[in-house]
Amino acid sequence: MAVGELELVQSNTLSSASSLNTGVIFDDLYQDYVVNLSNIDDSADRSMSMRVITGGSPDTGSNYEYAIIDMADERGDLNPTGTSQTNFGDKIVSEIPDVPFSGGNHLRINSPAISTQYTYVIVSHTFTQTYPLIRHRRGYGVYKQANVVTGLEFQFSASTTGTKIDIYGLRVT
Amino acid sequence: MSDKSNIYGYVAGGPTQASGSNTGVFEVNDIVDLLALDKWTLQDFDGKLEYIARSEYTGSTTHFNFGSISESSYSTHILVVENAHTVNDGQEIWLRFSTDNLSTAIATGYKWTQNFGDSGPNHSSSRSQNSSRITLASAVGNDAYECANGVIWLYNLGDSALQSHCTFEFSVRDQNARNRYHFGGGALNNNNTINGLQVIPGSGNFNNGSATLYGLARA
Repeated sequence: MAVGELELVQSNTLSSASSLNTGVIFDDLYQDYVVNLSNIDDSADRSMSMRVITGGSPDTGSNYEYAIIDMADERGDLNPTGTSQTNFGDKIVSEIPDVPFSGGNHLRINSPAISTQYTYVIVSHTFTQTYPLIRHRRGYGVYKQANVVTGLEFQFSASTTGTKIDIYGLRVT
Repeated sequence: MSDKSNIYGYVAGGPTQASGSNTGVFEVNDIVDLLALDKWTLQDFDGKLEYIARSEYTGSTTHFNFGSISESSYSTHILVVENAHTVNDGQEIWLRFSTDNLSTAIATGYKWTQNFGDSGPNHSSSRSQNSSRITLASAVGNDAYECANGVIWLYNLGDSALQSHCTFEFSVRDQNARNRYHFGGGALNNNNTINGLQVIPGSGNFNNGSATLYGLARA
């Protein structure tokens, strides 16, 4: 419990989940967070999106924006972007492949609990789907409201089991 | 430490001492002893980067090898490569996995994709669907101050039911004395338990540098 340490804030393993609300996880003990997704898989393909929680509820407004490089092993790069989105969609959060295909993703979230700043997300995501395809997505997202963000809500295209979602904070006080 | 196996504390019903499972009332000296054995749990310290191993060039260690990686303890590993200086000029830096604690490094069946660029300025991408390695960086120079530095996040190494993946980002001083970036992802196209890792140049050896492996604890 010292300044500069990376500390586990919350740990989740999905089990028949259609959504995950983290509750209050962001505060002034930390300024930067890592949302680490591992063992991303299920018995069938799923997708995952994410919203921020402000004022006790997920913000469903058109307040999300992203730009990424979508890289693959069988084609050149794509550059999907989105403005005025109602969530951080599957291209920035995650697609959930069917076993044995899988993936990992770490989202770095900057300054969610500061009321005078937007909340920024940096994504680094690798996953496989259907032999021999591999995807790597790298880019950014921003929640374009200067609100205190206290948590995250993840939504899944169908009930899903297995993926681990862990939130770490980099201690500043 | 004296032999006090399973006698810490005095709460009836069997006090226990293991990482993540301390029950009972403990004397101060007991806590000091258990901390030294990494069997004392402080909730605020749970979940962090935990050191696993370091491979450092020593004159005889010419590749960065990890034959024991605690794969069953973590779903995410982080491998930090520092000051990787190659004997030969213009080298790629490769990552390989092993299923036999690095008695052999697997040299087939990898897939990867990456972007790279330099201060030329140039920007490009490369990829492979069936490779002998995951290529992390390229064109690493061998003059003084030319080397590769990078971070690799590794996922699902210890899960025999899932393919193992990585994301990586590297900063290179290249053979043309330019700064160069690489970022991308890779995987082994088999679902096996991975219990060894190797970082090697495309040809020749390293003659400086190190790699350090950490586990990202979940509890």
